[in-house]
This record gives sequence, C-alpha cells and structure tokens, in this order.
Amino acid sequence: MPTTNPQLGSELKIYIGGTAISNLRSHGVELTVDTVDVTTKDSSNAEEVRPTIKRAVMNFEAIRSENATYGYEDLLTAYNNRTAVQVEETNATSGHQTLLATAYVTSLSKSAPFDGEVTFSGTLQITGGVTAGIDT
Amino acid sequence: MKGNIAIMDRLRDTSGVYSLIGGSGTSARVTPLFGPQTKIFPRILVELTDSTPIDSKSGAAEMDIDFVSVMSEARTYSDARELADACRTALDWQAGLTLNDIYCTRIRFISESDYRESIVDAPIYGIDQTYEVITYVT
Repeated sequence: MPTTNPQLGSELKIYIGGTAISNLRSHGVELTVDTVDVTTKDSSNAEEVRPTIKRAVMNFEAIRSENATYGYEDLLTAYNNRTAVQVEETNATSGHQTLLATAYVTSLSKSAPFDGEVTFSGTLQITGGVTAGIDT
Repeated sequence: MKGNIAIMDRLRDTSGVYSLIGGSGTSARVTPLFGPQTKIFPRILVELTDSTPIDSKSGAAEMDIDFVSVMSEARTYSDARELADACRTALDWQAGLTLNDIYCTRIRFISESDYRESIVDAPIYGIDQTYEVITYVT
C-alpha cells in the first residue's frame, strides 16, 4: 500500500474573499526573494548574497462560465477598481495547509478560440507577504 | 456525451437525408456501428469515436467534446457523395439543438475521407465524415 499520499492539483483552489475562483483549470504560486551581492575579496572566490525583498504572485487559468460564482467578471471588477483582495490557496479541508495573502489583480487575459471553450488567465500580485497557516 | 445519439436523431429527422435512404424518424436507415443484415443501401452508420470532458477543478464536467463518425454508404460513389453532402448540410455548424433530450451547443464538420468495402455481389462506396459535437452532460 503506497504511503506517499501525493496531493492532487484538483484538490487545491484559489479563494478570493472566501469564494473559490469558478472552473479553475490550473494555478501556481511563485515565491521569490531579491538578493544583494556582498561578495568581497575575502569570499574565497565564491559569490555571497543576502536576501532582501520578498515577492510573491499567484497565477491561474480557468474556464469562463456564464453562471460562475466568482469568475472573469468579478476579477475584471477588481482589476478596474484596483481593489486589494484577500486570496487564499487551500483545499478547504480542516487541518490542511493554507497560504493566505492580500493581492491585486495585475493581469487578466481572455482567450476565445473558434473551436474550443473560452478561457481566461491572470496574475494576483501579492502585497505584504504570504502567511502559511492551517485550515480550520 | 451521447453525441452519436444526437447526430442519429438529427439525420433521421432531416428530410434532405431520409429522402435519400428511405423511411423517416426511427425507420430511417441510420444505425449505430453496424447496418442491418439485409444490407439495403444507401445507408448511414454512426459511431462515437471519442468523448473528452471539458474539465475543471469545480467538479464533474458539465460539457463534453464528442467526435462522431458518420459513414454514408451506397452502391455507387455518386449516391454516397450525395448522401454525405446531405449529412453535412444537416449537421455542420448547427447550434443550440436539443436532440433526443441531448443539448448540443454546436456540431461542426471536421474532416472526411473515402473508403470502400468489397462484398461478394457488389462493391460498396463509403464516405466517412468526422463531426465534433459539444454536448451538455445531463
């Protein structure tokens, strides 16, 4: 019996203001930190760095639906109003890890091919850092 | 799902099609996969070749993309050609249809090719058309 118990991508969603983005196809979370170079002649010919500014973004792709609970139109409103939104990445199961942050919608794209479904994708630029927690 | 059943329903109820194959409605010579043993031509065979759900993290897919093969068969190539053309007129870019309780967002012609079969008494000419059918899962 396997014990690895891998998590499936379909279990994780992005929630905005407590409501999951409807019909999510995929999403990702990228955490980076800037560095400054503090290499000196005493560094034994090896680069030395120190971390400075932390940055984070959430990217997502979803199917556009006419009856979405939270969909393209809601994200468009947040984009137009430049409104800060509360975002959470979670599987909505008690005891499981969550990522919580405040973010702005900094990009929103829509694709409408003649032979397929309408999809949209976007970027949530996080402000003020990411808090890791446990879903209650 | 069941895009093949929707297409059979459409072909059986389209006068431009059933006038070429005889009968109408359920008596029209439009059958799934196999033709009747009596081998009466022209006839249409319909086959579901693929069904793919439009998935998301929100749960079970509400819509599927089906690919359906419509095979027009006749004793002469000109009859097969005429039947295939009638099928395309009946099906291509039809939208918003409810066929046999199956809601089809859209039916679209994808491709076609000729084929032949050798039967003891006479050759059979066939034209195999592929249609994309976007259906609601109910």
